[in-house]
Amino acid sequence: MTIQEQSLPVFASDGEVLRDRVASFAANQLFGGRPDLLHGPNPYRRTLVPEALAEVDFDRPLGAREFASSRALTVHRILGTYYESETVLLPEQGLAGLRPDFEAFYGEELRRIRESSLSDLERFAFGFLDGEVEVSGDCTPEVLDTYLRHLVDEAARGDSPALDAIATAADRPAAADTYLVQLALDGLTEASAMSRNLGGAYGPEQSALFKVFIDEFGYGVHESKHTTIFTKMLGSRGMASHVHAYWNFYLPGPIAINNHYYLLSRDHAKFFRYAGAVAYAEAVFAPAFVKMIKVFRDVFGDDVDLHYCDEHAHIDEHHGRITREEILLALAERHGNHVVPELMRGIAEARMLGGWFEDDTAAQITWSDTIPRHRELAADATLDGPPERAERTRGAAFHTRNHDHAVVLEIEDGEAELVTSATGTPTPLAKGDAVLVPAGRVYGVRALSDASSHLLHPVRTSA
Amino acid sequence: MSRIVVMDLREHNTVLAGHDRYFVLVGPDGDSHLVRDWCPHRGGPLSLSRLTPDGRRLTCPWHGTKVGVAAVRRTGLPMVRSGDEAIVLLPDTPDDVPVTLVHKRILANLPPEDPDRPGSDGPDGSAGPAGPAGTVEDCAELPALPCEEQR
Ligand code: FES
Ligand SMILES: [Fe+2]
Ligand SMILES: [Fe+2]
Repeated sequence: MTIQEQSLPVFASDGEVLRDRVASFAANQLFGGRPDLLHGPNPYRRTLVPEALAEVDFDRPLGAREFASSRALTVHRILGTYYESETVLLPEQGLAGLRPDFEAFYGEELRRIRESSLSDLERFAFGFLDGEVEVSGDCTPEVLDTYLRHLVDEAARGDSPALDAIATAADRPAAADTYLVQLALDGLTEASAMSRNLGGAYGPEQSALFKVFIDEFGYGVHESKHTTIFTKMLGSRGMASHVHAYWNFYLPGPIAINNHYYLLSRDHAKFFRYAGAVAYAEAVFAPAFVKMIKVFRDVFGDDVDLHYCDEHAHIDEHHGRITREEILLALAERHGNHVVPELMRGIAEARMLGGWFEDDTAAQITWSDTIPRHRELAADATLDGPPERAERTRGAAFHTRNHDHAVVLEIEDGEAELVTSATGTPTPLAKGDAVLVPAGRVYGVRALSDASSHLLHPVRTSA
Repeated sequence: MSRIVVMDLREHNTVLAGHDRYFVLVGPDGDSHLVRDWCPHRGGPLSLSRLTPDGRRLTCPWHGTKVGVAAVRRTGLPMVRSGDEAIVLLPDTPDDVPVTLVHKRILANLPPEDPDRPGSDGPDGSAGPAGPAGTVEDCAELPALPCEEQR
C-alpha cells in the first residue's frame, strides 16, 4: 500500500503574487541591515537582503539538490523570519527603546503579508519533498521500527563531515566557532517548533511528547533550559548569545532544517511526518553530541563549556527511546498501518536535511579556512562571460550572500575585506586582488576605503 | 530548625514545604513513609511512578529510571503515625517557609503494573493497598545518579 500526500499544484497563486508579497515583507525597515557583521541584541531586526529577491524566480520552486543555492538562502531567511514571528521573542535587556520594532515585527501589516503568503512560500521552499521522498510497499510498524533502527545505526557509525572539517582545519577554533554558529539558529530558540505540537488532544503520545518538552525546558528551571546552557557554551567561547547575533552567517542548509521542523509543526496535516522527523532527530543527537564533545575538547581543551553537549549526549538517549517507543511506534499501533508511510517519510526527510546541515557546514568551514588557496585558484580560473559589478561604501549595511555557480571575486577599486565567518579574521583585499568563491559559499564584502567596487566573474565550471 | 506538621492521613497524603514535596508511600505491610517526591535522575515525580512487577522498584514516569523502594524510603522524613494521625518533623524548615497539606493521586501505592499490560492504570491509588511482599533491594543512596536506567 502506498500512501503519499496528494501532489498539489505548486502554488495556489502565481509566482508574481508571491514575489510581490514576500518583497513587501522584506522591504520593511526592520530587515534592511546594519553596518556591523553581527546583529545587535534586537531580535526583530535581521537582514533579509531585499535586493537579492529581485533575482529569485518565484515561478520555479526550489529543487531537491539546490539546498545551497542563492535562492535557497534568500527564501529560507525570509521563511525562518515568518516562522519566528509566530514565537515570542523579547530582548534580554528589556524592551525599552525597541518597542517600535516589537510593534512592527508583530504588527498587523507584516502579519497580514505573512498570512497571505506563508503557505505559498512553504510550498515554494519545500514542495520538492513530495517528489523527493517516496514511501511504498507494505509498511507495518515492524518495517517502521527496522527502518528507523537502521538509520540510527548508520548515523552512529557514520562520520560527520562538518566535525571532520573542524578537525582538519588550519584554524580549528574559527572552524569550531562556525559550527557553533550553525547550531545557534536552533540552539537559541530550541524546541520552539516542538511546542506547536503540544496542543490538542491525542492521547498518551501527546503526554510522551510533553515529557520530552519538559526536559528541553529544564523542568521550568531557567538555568537548566537547553537554550540557557546553549548560551553558556557560546559565552565560554567569547561569542554573543542573543537572538540572532549570527544571522548573517547562518547557512541555507541549517536554516532549511530549522524551517522544516516549523513546516511540519505548523500544519498538523503533517503531524505524522513530524513524529517521524523528531524520532529520527532525537535518536541521532546523542551519538552526534558525543562526537562533538570529542572534537571540541581536542580543539579547546577545558576552555569551552560543553555542558550543553553532555546534557544532550545523556538526555537524548532518553528522548530517542521515548520518541521511538512512546510516540512513533505508539502512533503506528494506535492509528494503523496507513499512517506508517507518513511516519517513515518524516524520518527520511529529517535524515536528508540533516545531511544538508553537515555538507553545507563542512563546505563553509573548509572554504573559509583556505582563502589563500582560493586566491591562487582565482588566478588559474577560466572566466566565462561578463562580470557582475557591485559597490560598497564604508559604513553601509553589511550583508552576506552566495552564488549558484563558482565566481571569481575581484576588487575593481578601493580596499575591502572579505568576510567568510563570524569569528575568523576577514581577508583584506586591495585593488586587483581576486578570490575564487565556490558555488554555495556564503560571504560578505565590506569596504575599508570610503568606497570600493568589486567584480563577480562567472567561472567556466570545467576548470 | 525542625517544624512539626500534623497530618490527618484520611485527608492528606502529600506535604508541600517550600519547593520540596513529600508523599506518603505505603509499603507492602501497610507501613507508611513520608518520602521525597523527587527522582534522583532529574527530579521526576516519583508519586506518579509505578511499582515494577517484583514490587521492589519504582519506575519513574519521566525517563524510566527504576529507583529501589528501599532507597526511596531512606529519604523519608521522621514521622510518627498513630491511627490516622501522623506527626511529621520537617528538618531545617524556617517558620517563614510555607507548608501545605494536600491530597494527591499517588500511583506509587498501586499494585505493581501487570507486565502484560503496560500502561494499565488502576483507580485512585492514594490509599493504595500493598502489593505482593518482596525483599526490598538496596539501591544507591538518594540523592545520587540513577541506580539503574531503563535499558
Ligand atoms: S527524572 Fe526520573 S527517570 Fe528521569
Ligand atoms: Fe535539547
Ligand atoms: Fe532532545
